[in-house]
Amino acid sequence: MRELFLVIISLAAIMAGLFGLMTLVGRDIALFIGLTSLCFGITSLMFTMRARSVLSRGSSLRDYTTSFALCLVLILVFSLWDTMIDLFNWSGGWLYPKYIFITLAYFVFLYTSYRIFNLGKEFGFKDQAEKIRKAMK
Amino acid sequence: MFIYKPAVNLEWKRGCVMDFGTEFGKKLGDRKEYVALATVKAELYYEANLSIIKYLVNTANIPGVYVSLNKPYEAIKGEFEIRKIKKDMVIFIDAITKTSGGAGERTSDCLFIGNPENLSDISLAMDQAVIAVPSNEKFVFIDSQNTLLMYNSAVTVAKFIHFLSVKMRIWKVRGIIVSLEKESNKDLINELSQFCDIRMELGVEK
Repeated sequence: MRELFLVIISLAAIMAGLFGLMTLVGRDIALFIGLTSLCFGITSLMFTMRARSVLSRGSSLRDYTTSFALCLVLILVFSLWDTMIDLFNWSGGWLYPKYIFITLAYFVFLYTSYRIFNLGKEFGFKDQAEKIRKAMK
Repeated sequence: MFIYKPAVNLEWKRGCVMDFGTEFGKKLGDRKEYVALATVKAELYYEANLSIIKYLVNTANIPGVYVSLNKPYEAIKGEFEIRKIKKDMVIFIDAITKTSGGAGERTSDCLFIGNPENLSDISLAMDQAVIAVPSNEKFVFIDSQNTLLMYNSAVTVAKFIHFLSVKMRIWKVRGIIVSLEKESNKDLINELSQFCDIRMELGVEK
């Protein structure tokens, strides 16, 4: 019941935030989407960093969280740059850094996926589960 | 391959000490899900551990997870073979081999964690291992709480054991946390007792 209440309050807060943002930026849809993405990105990064701070130093999970946080940072920088382009009407050479940020983000995503693949291999016990099944017969 | 073989006098001692497995079984009765804190004297500690595992695996035919914070997997494996404990029924989580520079290559039945300080990986590994055990009845054996104290503060250990006791109830397992009987950790043992369903002093006739 308490969880449901929290979800409703959170949804109401998000809706209020979006409405406030809409009032602030007016009819500029691109800017509205840019700022909304930034807000979600910052919140995600905050959750990730909080999780990282309580995980044990040197643990596989903490390393994975670090890689994931780096992905978020790069996506966030990309969104920030994209929003700045809309805000200040940048053109020409100013457009290229956003492509660099998004490419870097995908590289780090690749690395993070590789890490989760290794985590799966490391923490998976499928073979031993089969042995146990046979031993119990 | 190195296989640990106990000295002759230790084998003789084994014949004299009581059967901890049976004592453990008697104290727990018909319970199928519990969190037990087993305290044991230092000189009887290893004997008690193996005896309890033998009771659970060979007598009760229950598979489970053995979290070793004290002895390397290779040594435990050797001891299991000597005592004819069904090794295939157990998933090992070894959090000690790597601390002494051991290779700790992942095997099908053992996962090597960096060190006992790495509580996040220990709990993650336990979660995965317990879920992987293909049986309704399973056990989780933690050997031992004292080693955790050497690498973490008493508050951290108490929090971790509390977290594990909650997890063990969610997993619906027979959870056994072994602790040495020591004057220095009496306060901690008393604190941990409140998280557990049963506290048993093994090797003490009552």
